[in-house]
Amino acid sequence: MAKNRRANAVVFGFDFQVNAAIVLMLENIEDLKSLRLEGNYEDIELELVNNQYILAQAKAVERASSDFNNVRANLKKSLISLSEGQIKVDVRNLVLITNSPNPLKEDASVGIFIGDAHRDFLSLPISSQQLIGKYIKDIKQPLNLKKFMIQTLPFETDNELERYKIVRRYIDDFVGDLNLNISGLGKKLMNIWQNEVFVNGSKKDPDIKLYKADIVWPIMVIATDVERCDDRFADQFDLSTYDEIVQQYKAIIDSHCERCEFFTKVLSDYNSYTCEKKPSEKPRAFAMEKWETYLPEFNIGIIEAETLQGIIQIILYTIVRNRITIGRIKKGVKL
Amino acid sequence: MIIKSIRLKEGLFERIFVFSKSVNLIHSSKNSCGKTTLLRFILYTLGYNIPNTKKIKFKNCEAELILECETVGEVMIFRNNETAVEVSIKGEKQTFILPEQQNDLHRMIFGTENLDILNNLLGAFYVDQEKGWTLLNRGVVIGSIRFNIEELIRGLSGIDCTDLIQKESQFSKALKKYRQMFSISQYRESLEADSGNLGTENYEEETNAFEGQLLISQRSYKAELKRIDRTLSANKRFKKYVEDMKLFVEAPDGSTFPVTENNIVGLKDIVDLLVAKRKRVLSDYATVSRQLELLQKEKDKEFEQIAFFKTATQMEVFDRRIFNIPMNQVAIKKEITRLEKERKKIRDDISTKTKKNNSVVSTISKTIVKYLTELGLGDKDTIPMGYLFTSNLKELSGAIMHKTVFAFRLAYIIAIENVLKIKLPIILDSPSGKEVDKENIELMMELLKRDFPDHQLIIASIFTYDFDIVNTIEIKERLIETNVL
Repeated sequence: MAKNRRANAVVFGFDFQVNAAIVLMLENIEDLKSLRLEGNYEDIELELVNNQYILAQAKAVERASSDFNNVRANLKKSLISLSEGQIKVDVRNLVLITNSPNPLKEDASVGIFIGDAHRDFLSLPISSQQLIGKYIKDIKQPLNLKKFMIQTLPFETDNELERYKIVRRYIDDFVGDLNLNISGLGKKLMNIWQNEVFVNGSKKDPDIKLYKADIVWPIMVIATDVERCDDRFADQFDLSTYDEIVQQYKAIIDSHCERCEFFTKVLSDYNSYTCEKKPSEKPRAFAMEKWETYLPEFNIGIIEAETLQGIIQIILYTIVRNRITIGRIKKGVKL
Repeated sequence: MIIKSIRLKEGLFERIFVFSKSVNLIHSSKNSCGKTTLLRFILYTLGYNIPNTKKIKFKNCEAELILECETVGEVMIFRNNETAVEVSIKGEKQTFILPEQQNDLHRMIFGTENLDILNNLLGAFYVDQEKGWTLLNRGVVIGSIRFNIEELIRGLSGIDCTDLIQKESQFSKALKKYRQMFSISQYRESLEADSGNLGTENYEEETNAFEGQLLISQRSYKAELKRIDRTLSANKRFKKYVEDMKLFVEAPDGSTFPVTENNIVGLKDIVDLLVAKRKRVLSDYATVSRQLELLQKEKDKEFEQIAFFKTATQMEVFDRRIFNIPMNQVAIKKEITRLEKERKKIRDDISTKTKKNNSVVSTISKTIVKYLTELGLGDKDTIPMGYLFTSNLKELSGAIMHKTVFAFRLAYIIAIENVLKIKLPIILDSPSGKEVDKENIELMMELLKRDFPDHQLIIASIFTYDFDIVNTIEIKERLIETNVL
């Protein structure tokens, strides 16, 4: 049993580390260059575009809201480890990220870490500062306390809804910031990122990093999926017809949207297309008006004229929409 | 064909039996001395698959048979194992692998290539003590060797029914399967009635459905991967094409710059998007493949009955499996009836083709009527012409059966002689059956003396028979009794 408990605690700890990395990554997405778990310098390493690093120590306690036995030992270990990391690279921030709501085990600070807190050293109560000061006293080259921060991330129980609720909120906020109105995107992204970061952490070579593009492009794959019909387009298109066409001709639609010879032509036509409608309505108007121009390009065999019209309109709209969506996301995350 | 001698050797014991070309009586005053064994040794050395008798294992013995054949003259056949015989003709030796080359051997000895004849010769000239005296026109000659009158007649009259026979055999196979299915369906029904609920009736269905879904997903991911790869290649070609053109573009401000992949709007993005998409689909494909592999392993394990219901006995597992096979008893029964009808029709066709306007049939029938009349079993008015093909053996009992069998066999031998021009030996094991009195035996022997004087006759019996010259081979305590040392 003891062995089992230990094994579970290790898995729990790694799961926290993965999710803490996702949170830190999203908080710093604009400046992020790459992410590495279990790297050369720390539990979590975020390399920024200016070549500085954010180093984080992740400390998880299984029964976080009631068990504070090891929190001070965790704090001490983290301070030592972060001090060592700071010597090796140019650091912007040094973070202790934990799921304990009382990481210093003292009455003075117990209230300030409820929820997801971000407390830099100077914002801590004096008693907390003194406690930290006591721990770093014996370290030869102690960490720069101005760069130090204690961050809490509620993460408890075996119920996934509860355990990941704050991580989900971070992701949803991020998606919201990108102005992507896609249902279920948050959950999908969480699964993808958890998987990606986990795999990255399990690789022995610390030089294998997860780059910003690796993290961001999955969003674009979901956001540009033709199976999802935009509300704006749905106003014009019967949704069941849309679904039927996409189900049956998805490969054809995708191939046209992704082949340069075709989409560059469409983008060029769209660029020179003018209409009196609002800019947000221009893609739909373009697809509805210009589809006949592309008829000679389609030789799908025996197909109803109406269906062929639908296919071409969906393709034209999707090409333009994807261009806009990709542009918006890249801008949002500074890719 | 004359059997001249046979030399038998078992371990240190050896004996040579010499036969005359007319009447030979293998005689012993007691039973179980080896008379039947000697007859069977002759047939065994001729290449037939003959069962041992209790006392001697053929495969442990050496047998050397010397024959005089109408076809090739003197033949020496040597056999000391179950799988081959060595044949010497005029000093030339040849080995025949058995049973594969049995027909080749017999083709040489009996002078015909017709398998319908070769397969039915033994049933004509040999009457076994156990099965022989009840074998009239269809059935077991000895061991696994069978006799079929229709087949022999087809052979003798050169009728080819191969297609029909193949069809008949297909129907028979199908019928056998359907009958087994029917018994399983009955068993299944009894399970349903007994157990009410076997608990896991849907388990296999569910697993199969899940496997089906996974396979569909796997196929669709694979297709998507291929599509993405094709698109990536097409884009690569496009990129190269544009780069090779070395185009320069003038911007509105008058500056010029070359067209590269980086400034074609959307090109780099679409490549990145495709790469990300590919990664995603590949990951989904790997997940599904892993799930399928696990499921397959689970199914294999279940198949080997290692992990499936750890507490279940083999019988319970079997019952569950049977229970989960959907079977429609009525439909199976219908199919059986249909197949039976079809098969009967084909059998009738074969029979009609065999019997219609066939001179061999009428010759054999006439001979049978003649001999049965002489043996006091009726006359041409009471014995119908089609009696040759009778399957009603119930009414034949005791001596009547014995004499009828004798008449039929003699008729076959005459018919074979007419076609092949060979005189088969007549080998009778214990012709004096329990129910046959001396008078009847004499009648039978008289027929042999009168009509088959040129055929070699080999009789094994504890009795003696009234022939002018008889070569008696006496067996005392055991068949092979001379010590060669």
